Amino acid sequence: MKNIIALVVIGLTLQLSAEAQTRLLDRAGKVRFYSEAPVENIEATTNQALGVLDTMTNKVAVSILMKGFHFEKALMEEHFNENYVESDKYPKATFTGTIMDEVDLGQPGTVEAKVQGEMTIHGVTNPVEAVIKFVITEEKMTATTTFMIKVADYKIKIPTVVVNNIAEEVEVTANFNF
Amino acid sequence: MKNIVVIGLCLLLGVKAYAQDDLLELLEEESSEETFVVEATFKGTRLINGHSVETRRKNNLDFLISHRFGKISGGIYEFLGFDQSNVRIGFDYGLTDNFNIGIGRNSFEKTYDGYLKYRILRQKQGGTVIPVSVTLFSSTAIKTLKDRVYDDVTTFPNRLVYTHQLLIARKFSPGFSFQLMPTVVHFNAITEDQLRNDVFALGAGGRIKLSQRVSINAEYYYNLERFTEESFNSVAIGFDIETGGHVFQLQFTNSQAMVEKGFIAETRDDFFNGDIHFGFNIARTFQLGEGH
Repeated sequence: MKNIIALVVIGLTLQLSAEAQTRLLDRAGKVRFYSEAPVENIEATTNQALGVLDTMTNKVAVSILMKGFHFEKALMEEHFNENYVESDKYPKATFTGTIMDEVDLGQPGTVEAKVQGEMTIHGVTNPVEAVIKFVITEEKMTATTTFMIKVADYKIKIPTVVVNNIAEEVEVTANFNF
Repeated sequence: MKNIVVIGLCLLLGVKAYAQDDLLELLEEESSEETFVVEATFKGTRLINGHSVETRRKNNLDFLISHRFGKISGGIYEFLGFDQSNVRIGFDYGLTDNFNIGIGRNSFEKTYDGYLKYRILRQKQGGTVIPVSVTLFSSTAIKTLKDRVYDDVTTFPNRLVYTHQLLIARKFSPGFSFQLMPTVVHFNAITEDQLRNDVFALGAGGRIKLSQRVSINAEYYYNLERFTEESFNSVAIGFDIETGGHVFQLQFTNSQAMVEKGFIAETRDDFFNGDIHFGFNIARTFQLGEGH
């Protein structure tokens, strides 16, 4: 009787830990966005993006602290947080999605896969589609993606006086090492 | 045997719940203990007349032009004060993110001034909480306006006036910030009608944001003892308007001078008698080199 319970418990615990191991986490993901406008180009990067990939369910999630973004000019950074993304109210940008293509992430090599999901910035959620490129070796896996987002989709207002300073669409590049 | 089935089911359900756990929640737990510096307590390095806790970042140069016109109570004859105008032109520079220096010249009494400003403490939230920002401010001013009575007897050190301030501010919310300014103004030499060398004052001020880029500001300096019999406390109400690299500040104040010792200790107009000066500050920031 006791043995059976012990076996069940051990069995379930193993299953649990096996499942936990399919989740790969990167605490220092790199995210960059780039806006190209007539007056100036704006670039910001962060090395504090959190990314998680569940290789069993093929689900991904990313969480980025807006205050973690650093700009070339100090005032840009202040205005980004204060006026545009309102990071006191909406401290994080998040993404959750699912890899739609059938891929074997256990196999070394380079593979591209489409991911569909939802992105939340400035408290506004929009559907997003992107292609993630996985470079898999024996030791690690690198996931990279580039896509465009429209500033207006996230209800971030650009006043007319700075319309030549900030692009309507910005390019986002993300890089995670698992 | 039944017990085993129940336990098994419970554990299976437990596992299922775990598997369904949102990946985002997992990330949430990872990021909970971050500490953040509270930025942009005020839009400008000046609250209205006086300084705010804000400093310019490293290698940033601010070019400031400020005007104060004559008294609005001068009426149409004086074109609401626009017939008279005095100007201060100044430069502020960030040697580091926390240490700024500045120079300026005010046409009022032909006064030159220079200052040092150092952030001692920054308000923080998150993992480690610091409730206020504290900045130390110290300026020296020299009046160079020619004076028939005193010019022959005054030496250079006698013309110097020092102002020391502790600026303590808290951003209570994105829309509301408040600042206290304990101040001492020291005059190296005084004339017969001036009552004391050291004037102690307590300033208070704040801002309320009206929109993302516009705020209404107020500032008041209470002098514990008056500098002369004709002195009044400095009162100012103004608006901050920010447009990208510029900050425009429009204000109504009873102070004419734009140098600390001038508006804190030597204000001679009565705000509540309508002796109000309209004025503005314009600050343009240039980034000269690598930031942080």
